[in-house]
Amino acid sequence: MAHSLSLTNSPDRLLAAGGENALAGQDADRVRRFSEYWQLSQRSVRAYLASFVPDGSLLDDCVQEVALVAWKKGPLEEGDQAFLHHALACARHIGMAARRKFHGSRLQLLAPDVAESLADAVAAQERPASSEPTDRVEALRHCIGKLSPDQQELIRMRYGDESANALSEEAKRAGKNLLTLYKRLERLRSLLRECVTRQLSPPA
Amino acid sequence: MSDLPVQHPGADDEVAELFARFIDQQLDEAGHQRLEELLRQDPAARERCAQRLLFESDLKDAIQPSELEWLETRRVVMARRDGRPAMEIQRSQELRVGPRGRIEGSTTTKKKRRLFVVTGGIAAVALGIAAGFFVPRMIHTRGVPLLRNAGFETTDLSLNPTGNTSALIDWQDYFTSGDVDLCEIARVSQGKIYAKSGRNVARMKGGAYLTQRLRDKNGNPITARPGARYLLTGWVYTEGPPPHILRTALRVVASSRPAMIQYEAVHQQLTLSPDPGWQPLHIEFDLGENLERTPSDTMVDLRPVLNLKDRELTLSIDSRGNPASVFYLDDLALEVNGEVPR
Repeated sequence: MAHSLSLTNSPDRLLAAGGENALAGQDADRVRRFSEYWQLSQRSVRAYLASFVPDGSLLDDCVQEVALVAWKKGPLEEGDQAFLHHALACARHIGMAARRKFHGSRLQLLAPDVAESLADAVAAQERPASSEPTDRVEALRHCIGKLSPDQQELIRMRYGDESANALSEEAKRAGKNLLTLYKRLERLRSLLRECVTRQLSPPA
Repeated sequence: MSDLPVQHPGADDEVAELFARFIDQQLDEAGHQRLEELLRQDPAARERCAQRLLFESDLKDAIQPSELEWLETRRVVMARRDGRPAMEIQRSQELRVGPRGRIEGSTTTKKKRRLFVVTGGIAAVALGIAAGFFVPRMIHTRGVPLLRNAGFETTDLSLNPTGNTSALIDWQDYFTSGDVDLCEIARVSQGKIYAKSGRNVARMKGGAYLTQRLRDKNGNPITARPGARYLLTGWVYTEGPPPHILRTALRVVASSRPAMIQYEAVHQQLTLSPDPGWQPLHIEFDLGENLERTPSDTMVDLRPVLNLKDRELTLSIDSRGNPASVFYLDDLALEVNGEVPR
């Protein structure tokens, strides 16, 4: 029920005995392939969309819309590069549409030309690779595990399934300035970036 | 304490600092303009910010990993049709992608907009088994209405500059009202109202009406049968001055405009609360055993009595309250209430 992308496909009707099993096999293969390609592409899709819309539920919605289109129309027979290319093209349309929808709101959005050039920079850097995303995220989890419980909680408040106001509520609760909390968060992100780089660098 | 080093790398990098504040939506106007200026002028700055966005994406995945879930359910119904054994197999499929919290919270219709259902399909196989060979038999579908465009999401309004259109697919059968439109309500109401699910709703001003010729899932018309009962459900949001009166009916349209003649098999009228928020709609229709009716709405003098049995039914939803009142409708459904009419 989204953006006119119906949540349901047109009913497939099978009128021959045994046809259902054949469809189940095709479906299974399609799901497997989509899953593989999506796992390889979703990092880029999210980053690409983040050029157009800010992080939060709006970005989550956009990512999901891209996946919906990719599932329905993605070139699953043409390999991961073609899939990523298609997904990013969809992301551009969906990201721009989301911007139009929230034009005039209090969201901080980059100017359209800047957002598009930033998105292009994301696309230029990312190509799907078979194991890299998993390695990177695993390294990041390892690094987060090295943080103190308070620091981990701050990261979770910002990136987990908390409410959008979790950080400001935490600032109120702890009697701290919200800006101070964001500065602390940024320091943690810098530490994590360094940590991941070290983790993924081959030993000298 | 953290096991990680405590220095703050990149503190002197203006772009990095501005972009970090932008990502957290904490950048002031001057900083915003400076960031845009730097990103426009400096390809290296764009590259660094692109890397930063990719890192943010990794962070999100590390903290709240996305999952893919494939659900498949089968419903097998065996019965006799025309004296022969028949079997219907329905298979529904859903693919969901997103963080686990979203997937698990997606089981209610309400959350469908936010979840990430990618697709659902229904495959139906009707296999009649008679004299040793298979004959397709579809059962339990004839006589069961299936509203088309019931969630008003058939039309994509995302590229529509105004967020609304007067074209309401499947809801302007026989008659067209200028007081009703399809709108992407969050955009049109500037975030004041959100659709019950999806993005679109039908907006009905005073005097507006929606009509849909009733069909089953195979496109066969739903006809009036003695004793048939139906249940109309959905969600409605009221706005503007009360009273908010919604009149719903199952009708037979004998003639459309200009010489309009309509017969009402059954109707129900609701006065809805003026309180803001989505209200559930639950309307029961009972056609009764006697289907002889006089015309309910006419533009001609003729008023012949008509037996509505086996005549095609149309669902009508009319706004009949204060001329300035507004209804928003979403997620409508019409189902058989009790036995499928034969």
